[in-house]
This record gives sequence, C-alpha cells and structure tokens, in this order.
Amino acid sequence: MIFTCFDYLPFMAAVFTLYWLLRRKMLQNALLLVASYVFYGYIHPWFCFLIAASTTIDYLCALGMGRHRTRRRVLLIISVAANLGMLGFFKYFNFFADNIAALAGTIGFPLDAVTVRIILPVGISFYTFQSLSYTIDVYRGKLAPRRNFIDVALFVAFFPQLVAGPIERAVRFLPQIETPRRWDSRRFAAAWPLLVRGYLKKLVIADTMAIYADKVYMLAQPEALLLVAGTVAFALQIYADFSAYTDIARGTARLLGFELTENFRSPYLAVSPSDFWRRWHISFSSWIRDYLYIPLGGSRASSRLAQVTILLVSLGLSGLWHGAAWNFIAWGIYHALLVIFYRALGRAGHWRPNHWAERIGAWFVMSSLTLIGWMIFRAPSLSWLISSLRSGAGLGFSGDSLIASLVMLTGALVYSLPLLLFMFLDRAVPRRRVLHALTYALAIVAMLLFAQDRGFDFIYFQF
Amino acid sequence: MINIASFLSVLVLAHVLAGPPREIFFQGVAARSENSRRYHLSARWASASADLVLLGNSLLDEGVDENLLAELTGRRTLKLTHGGAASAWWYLVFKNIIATAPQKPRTVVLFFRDINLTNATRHTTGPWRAILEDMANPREPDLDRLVYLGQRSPLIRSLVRHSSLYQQRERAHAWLDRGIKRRLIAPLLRLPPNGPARAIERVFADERMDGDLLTLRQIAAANERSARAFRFAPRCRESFLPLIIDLAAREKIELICVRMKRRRDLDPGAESTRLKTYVADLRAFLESRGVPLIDFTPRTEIGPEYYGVGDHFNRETGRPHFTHLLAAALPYSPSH
Repeated sequence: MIFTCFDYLPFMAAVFTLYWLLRRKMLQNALLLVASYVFYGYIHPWFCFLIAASTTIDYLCALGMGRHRTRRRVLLIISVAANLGMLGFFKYFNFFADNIAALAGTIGFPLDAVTVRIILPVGISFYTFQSLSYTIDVYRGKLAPRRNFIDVALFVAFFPQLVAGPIERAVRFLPQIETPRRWDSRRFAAAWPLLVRGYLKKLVIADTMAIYADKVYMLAQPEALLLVAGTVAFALQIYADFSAYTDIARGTARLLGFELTENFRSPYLAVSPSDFWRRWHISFSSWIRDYLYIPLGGSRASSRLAQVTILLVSLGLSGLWHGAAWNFIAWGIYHALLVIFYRALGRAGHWRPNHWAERIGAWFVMSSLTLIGWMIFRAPSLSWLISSLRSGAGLGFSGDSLIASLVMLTGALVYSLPLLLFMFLDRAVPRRRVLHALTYALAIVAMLLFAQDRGFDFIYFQF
Repeated sequence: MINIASFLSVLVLAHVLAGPPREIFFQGVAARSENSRRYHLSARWASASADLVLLGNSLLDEGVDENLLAELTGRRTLKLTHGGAASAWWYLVFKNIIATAPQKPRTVVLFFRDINLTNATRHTTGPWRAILEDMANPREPDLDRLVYLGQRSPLIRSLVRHSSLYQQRERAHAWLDRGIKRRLIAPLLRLPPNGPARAIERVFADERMDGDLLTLRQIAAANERSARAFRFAPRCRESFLPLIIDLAAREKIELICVRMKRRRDLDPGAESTRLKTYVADLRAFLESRGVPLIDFTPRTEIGPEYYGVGDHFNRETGRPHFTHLLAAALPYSPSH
C-alpha cells in the first residue's frame, strides 16, 4: 500500500480510530503490528514472510546475546549475515551474476549468467538496516535485548516508515513503543501540517517534475542544456518526493503518538559535501557513519590512504544501497571523492565560510556538484551518460533545446516556490501563527488545482 | 481557534471564487463556426450520403483510399477521421453525426489498434478536450460518467462532483502552461506565441525518444497500468464500446470492427500473452453482440515495405495494398 493510493485513506482511518479506542499499550502495539503487515503485504503477501523472518532472526540473536555473553560475536555475525544475505539475494543477485559473467567473458572464460526472476520486496533496504541497528546496538551494549516479540516486530515493521524510512534506531524508537501513549490533541495539531506539506510535495511538485525529468532522460541523446534542465527537474523531484514520504510518515506517526527522526534539513543549502550529507537522508547517512564508517576506522584511521579507502568503501556502498547498478556505485564514489577533495582543501567537517559572499559562492559550487551527482544517479546507465556527454550534440544546443530547457527551468522554478515558502515559514515565522494556517490552506488549494492526474510511486520505494 | 478559522476561510473562499460546482463536467459547444471540425464533418457527411462509413484515426486516414474502396466494394464510402482520435471521439461522431443523419449508412467500420476500443479516457484531456467539445452536444452524460467519473477512486469522484476548485484543474494547468510558454518564454525569445510548444514537440518527438531507457520504476508502473488496461471485462464495462454497439443496433446500422496491424506485429512473436488474451475476449464479446471483428494483425500479406511513419501505411504502396485487403475482408463486398 502507498500513501497516495485511495485504499490508504480508509485503512488509516480504521487504524487511527481503533488505535485510540484501545487504551492498553499492548493492544495498541498488537494492532499496529497487524496493520503494518497488512500495509506491507497488501500487494505481495509473501513479502510479510521475509520481514517476519528477518525480525525473528534478529529477535532471537539479540536474546541470545543477552543470555550467552561469550557467543555475542557469533550471534551478531548470524544476524548480519542473514539480513545482508536476504538483501543481497533479493536486490543484488542478478547484478552480480551479470557482472561476473561479463567479466569472465572479457578475460576469455565465457559464462552464461544465471539470472533469477526476483521481485524486489519494497523497503527491504530500509527495514534491513533498521533491524540490524537493533542487534548491533544490543551487541555493543547500548541496548538491552527485548523479550517482547511484538515490540521488536513493531519496531522493524512500523508501517508509516516501513518502506522508505526514516530509518529509525532501536535505541530511540523502541522506548517509544514501550511507553504508554495517550490521545493528545496537540499531536494532531503537529501532525496535519506535515501531512499537507508531504502530499503537496508529492502530488504537485515531485509528480510534475517527474514528467520533465523522465522526458529528458528518455531521449536517445539529449543536448547538454537539456540534460542540465532535466537534472534540475530531477533534483527537485527526488527531494520533493523523498522528503514528502518522510513528512507523511512523520505526520502519520504523530497521529499515532510517535515521533520519527527528521530526515532532511534543507539539503540544497549545503555549502560542502560533508554539509550535504548532514542534511540529506540524515537517518541513512548517520546509519552509514555509525555502523560502517566509524567501525571501519573512520577519520581516525592510521594513514591518509586508509582514510580515503574507508571513505570510498562507505560511500560506494551507500551508492550500492540505492540500487543494483553501476551508476549508483559511481554516484557514491563521486560523493566520496568530493569529500576527499574538500578535505584536501581544508574544507572538511563543519566548515562554513564566514562572509556571506563566500557562502553564496560555496553554495553555488556545491549545488552544481550536487547536480552532477544527480546526473550520474538518474542516468539510465553510465554508458548512456558518457555517450551523451561525449557526443558533439551533447556539448552544444540547438534553438529548440534552448527553448525547451528554458521552459523546463522556469517550470522548475515555479514549482519550487512552495518549498521556498515552507523554508521561510520554518525559519522566520513562529509556529501556530495565522500565517501557517493560511499557508497550509493555500497548499490544499494548490493540491486541488495542480496535483497530477497520473500518480507516480515514491522514488525511494525502489531502494 | 483563529488558526482553524483562517484555514477554513481560505478553503471556503477559494471554492466560492471558483463558483458553484458544475453538474455537467463535459459541455459541448453550443454554436459552431465554419472552422469547427464538426461543421466540416457534417458538411462532408451531408454531401457524400455515404453507405459505408469508415471511422478511425490517422492509421485509417493514411491507410485507406476511400475512392479505391468505393470502387472495389461498389459502395459510397466516406472516411471520418481525426489524427490521434480515440474511442470518445468515435462515439461522439457516431452518436452526433452518423446516427442523427436523416439517411443513415448501412455499415460503419471502426478502425482501432490494440486496446483502444476499451480505453475510454485515452485522448480526452488537455488539447483533446476542445476537440471533443467541438464534437459534443451541450450535454454528454456518457462522457461525464466514463471519462470524468469512471475509473477513479471514490475520493477523486467525490472531488470531481463536489469541489468547484477541483473542477478547475484543467483550466489551472492550462493557465500555468500558457503563462510559462506563451507569456514568458515566447516574448523573452521573441518567438510566436506557439513557438515554445512547437519547439518542445520537436525536441521530445517520438523518434528522439528511446523506449529502452525506461527505468525499472517506470517499467513497473507501466506494467501495473497495462495489467489493468488488459483486463477486458472490467475495461469494457467502463468503455464506449457497448454504447457504440447499442447505438448501431438501435439505428439498424451494421457495425464492423477492424484491428489494424502495427509495425511491431511484423514480428509474429511480438504480441504479448496479455494482449492475445484481451483480443480473444474482445472477439468473443463482439461475436456475442453480432459484431464481426476483422483482425489484420496476423495477416502476412502486410510486410514492412508497406509501412511509412510509425504504424502508418505509406501512401504509395501501403495504402492501395491495404485498401484491397480491406475490400476483400469486408462482408458483402463483391470480392467475397
């Protein structure tokens, strides 16, 4: 089920009503767990077996860690191997099989690639990471293993954020599940602006920009200016789409008495690559930092070479997490190289220019670099991107492409206005002012007038 | 409290400004000028007093020579076509021009490809709305039901019926589109008002697009949409096809459906299983209603040399060749 399909409305209404009618926390959690499995298995019920398997393994491994302290490492390995094994099989099997066969072919050992018809379970990358955070935190002693299976299962499967995040940490979210929740009208007041904002971003901005971006990226050989315009549209699309999902997830969770992690903090205002990753998909980038980058040695690694390697591995794998294709890996490595380059220039960590003119310059450079990254990310394949950029047409532009690009860029500018308005509201207007109420009413008007007829799935479902 | 009041007042005010909700979503043009397509088709129809009417889109327009067909069949033949026209347009032409004529034709042949006969919403919005309105009567409840209310979720249906603001969507989209293209970019680049739209058409012309570049997400979405589109029985219930058949029966006009062969079908394995099942169901349905289906898809006499642009036959060899095949395939023609 997705937030934008009609079936979600009666589903959510039923869950919401029943949930608040049930007074006991245990019953509320059981209801949410059932609702989460219905939500997840709505199209492919067998997906539920997968998430149940992952949950059971992690639940038992964590319990085992609590009981048998000497076997903690083995149990952690079992948990990690099982989770990554499932993720690897469902998401990457065909990719690796194809590439091994291609590599063998090029070195003179032709192999037939064994490909399997696999349906990628939506959200597997998200819940795998979320579930892993539980066993790893138990292993590290940050969290006591939980005996209540329903609580652990709900932590893994909580439907508002199940298929596209934010990726919650057990340390933060399990205590919320275990705490009694009472109806509070202030929560509702805090939830609906997020829902309105989320639906506006998705139905109006992201779905319109998707039309622009998809057209450009379906051209056999787009000219450079068109590629830039299409990439600007895609940058807007992916941000509006993904942050919309987060907003709706957070708003829904608030309706049920939970608080989810903030996932975006105006990412396109970043002035450096490190700054970008502190603002973009925060729950994922902090997961990579805490469970991969730092355990590998991080910035405290002994040599510069080791530091660079760790960064390349961490961000390369971040790219691979997004999908089984070389352009995602290239996107991750590209961002790693940016971080390395900025570090070499002494612009690492929390660097921020003092003077406003410098800040604008740094923002412009970083925005351009981010766009290049999105170009790599969105390209149908690396070979398409390389051939588009290499070709003579790729470097120039015709009158028609100039006109089309200007139309698209103007459209992107118009459709980004609500995002700018929300940013202004968040920063400059104290909450609960009339201006907020008026803005959200106008957002609903805009949705009624400008929502796209043909809805698209949320982009991050595929990851 | 003041926040809730402000919030509601904006929503109410917006709806008030948009006016009361319309009960009729699709409204034909009351008075027609000489530039009207309906005016022209009606005039052609009146002067031709045809006995055999061919109804379709550009595939028919390019693919059949009406004079040659008339010669071959011995029947007064008239083509009524519009480039890109789909079932809503065919229905309106049938109902408002053919069925209302004092002298009705003996046969109407409806040309379609793939699943277009049961795709009620195809080419009904954007620029198509004006084309349909030109062909429509002041009230077209079947269009309201099938195009604007059908195939939608209950929430959207309710918005379509009751929200005057929602009813302004097409106008709002057109306003924004015109604003950017005609009022901003065209004067800025000193182009004629329709210059930007034409440039975009050229830049994103079909021949410049590569279908293999679809992302997995796009493919999945298209598959889901097409899976729904290929289920014949539910789609047929929500289509103009039963209405067209009923209309033909009521007016005692023989109806024949002709499925055109697409370039893709030159490869005998190209037709998907889903489409084969759909066509079998379509054939069974048409037979049950006494409507013959002539399917040119498997016909090997139509080779690649007869095609021009896309799925259209070329005028030099394709058009006469197909006209001969059609004449031979039509029931009651002398060659039968």
